[in-house]
Amino acid sequence: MANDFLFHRVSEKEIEQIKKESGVLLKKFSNRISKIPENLGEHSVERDEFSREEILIHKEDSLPFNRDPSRVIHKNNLSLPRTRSPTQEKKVESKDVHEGKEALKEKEDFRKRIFENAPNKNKDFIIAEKKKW
Amino acid sequence: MVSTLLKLQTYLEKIKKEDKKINAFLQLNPEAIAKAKEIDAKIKLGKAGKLAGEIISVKSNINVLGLNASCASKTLENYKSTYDADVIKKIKTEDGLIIGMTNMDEFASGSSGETSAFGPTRNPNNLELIPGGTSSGSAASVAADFCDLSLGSDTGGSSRNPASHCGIVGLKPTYSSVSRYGLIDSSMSLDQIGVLGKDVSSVAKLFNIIKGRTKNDSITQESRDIDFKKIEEVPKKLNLGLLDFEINDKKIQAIVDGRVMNAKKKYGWNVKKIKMNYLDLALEAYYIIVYVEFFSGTRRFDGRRYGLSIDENSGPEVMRRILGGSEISKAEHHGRYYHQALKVMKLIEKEFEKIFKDFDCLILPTVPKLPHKIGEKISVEEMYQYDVLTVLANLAGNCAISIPAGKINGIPIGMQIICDKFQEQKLFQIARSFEKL
Repeated sequence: MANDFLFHRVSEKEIEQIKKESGVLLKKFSNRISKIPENLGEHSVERDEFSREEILIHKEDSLPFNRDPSRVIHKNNLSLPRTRSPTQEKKVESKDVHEGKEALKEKEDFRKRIFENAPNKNKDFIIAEKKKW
Repeated sequence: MVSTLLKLQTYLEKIKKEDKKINAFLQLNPEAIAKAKEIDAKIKLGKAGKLAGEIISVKSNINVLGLNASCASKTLENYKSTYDADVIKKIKTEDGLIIGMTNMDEFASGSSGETSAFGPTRNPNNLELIPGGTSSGSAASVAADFCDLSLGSDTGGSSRNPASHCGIVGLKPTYSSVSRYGLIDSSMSLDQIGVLGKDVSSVAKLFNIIKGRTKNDSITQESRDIDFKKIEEVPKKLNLGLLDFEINDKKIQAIVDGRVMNAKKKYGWNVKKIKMNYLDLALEAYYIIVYVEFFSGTRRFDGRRYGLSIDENSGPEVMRRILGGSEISKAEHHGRYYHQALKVMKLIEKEFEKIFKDFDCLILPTVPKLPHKIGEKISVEEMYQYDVLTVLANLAGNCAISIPAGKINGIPIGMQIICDKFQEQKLFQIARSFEKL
């Protein structure tokens, strides 16, 4: 049967028609592929090797733990070694505050966008259900 | 060198004039001009990334922060992406400029570019004809010269099929070579993000940026960087397999055969016709897998967290897949249809493994027939026939590319090259050699 593939709202009657047609089509497809050999095993989980080598993603992660100076923990005090001068520390601190502000803004923006996308919401919640159980 | 801003302005002007007829874009990026200025400033300082100056359109099923990932559906019409897909992050890091979101078949369901809820995309080569789908707007935006490159998706040929009809280059990378985090899925076992462009080298350039392992998509794998100098070298010894498969349109096959014979003559490559087992079952298996996975994947579009209910707002092709997928995944069938289809998928993968032991690539037409007129009524099976030669690479997980091979009455014809998994370097090299013929 010839079909119109252009977008249009589907009526209840058309839904019934589509349901019937797709059933016939899929049965036809299923019959065709039913002729293949049955003894293939669980192919969907079948692999030649059952594990693959994990590749580290970040360069910093590829450094062995004990060679990365910023990550070495001193046995005595179990704290990170001080590798920066007090002035440098101050600069880093202000950078952290700046980054913290950015992260907070990003979180707020994310929240705003999530709420904008939700069709039913109040101030703090997305209303997912309303007497529809 | 033309600045990014000037290039962008030229494209925007062209879109303004011509896109009313073509309908390639659903949304333009309101921040594009500001971004172009930023990129130009970086170029001046010599600090720009590898994609600086490249203007890229994105299919509307890929999330770009703040832009609409509507999937060309009323269901997600007002949905604004809350994050960047992995591929978008990579593009932005390398200073690629996103110009806008493109039209597509609704929820990537279709083969013609007609099923979009926002009107069909038209083929820039002939406005009466379909551009192919499902990355219809992506292909049309490149073919109409509205941008340099485009990101599409390819579940069963959705990047290669429209590339063929529009006369451009379309790549389906190896399954798992590009992260799909941020791609609104159609069928997770088969989906891959694709690249569309005007030539092989630019497609290779974008692929080289978006490929690779990311923590967000656990199946992704790392692959070697593309050697761009090597792409320009014509391989001296090559065994080409030409698929021995009868298609209805003999003219299309003749164009592809002609290109292969030219390459054989000019480059001294070996060419042999090869038959492939289970080819006649590929399309059937493909659609069973797609119906089941599409039905499952779309259950989250229930109109609660975002958008509207997909079951109440979709067009006929999306409904066909939902209703059909719902039927064959019923518990009473014990998953036997899906399971059988997965077996065919494995058999086809094994067939390709055999082929690539003796051949460097397999060559075949991208699409077996010419595009129909927009709005023309055809049967579902006739529509699905467009995908018969492209689904193979998706089922096997191989990489494949469609390149322009010629024209019939002014309508572009694509030639498809399929290589083994993670052989994109070789794929680009062969494709580029054909481009030089």
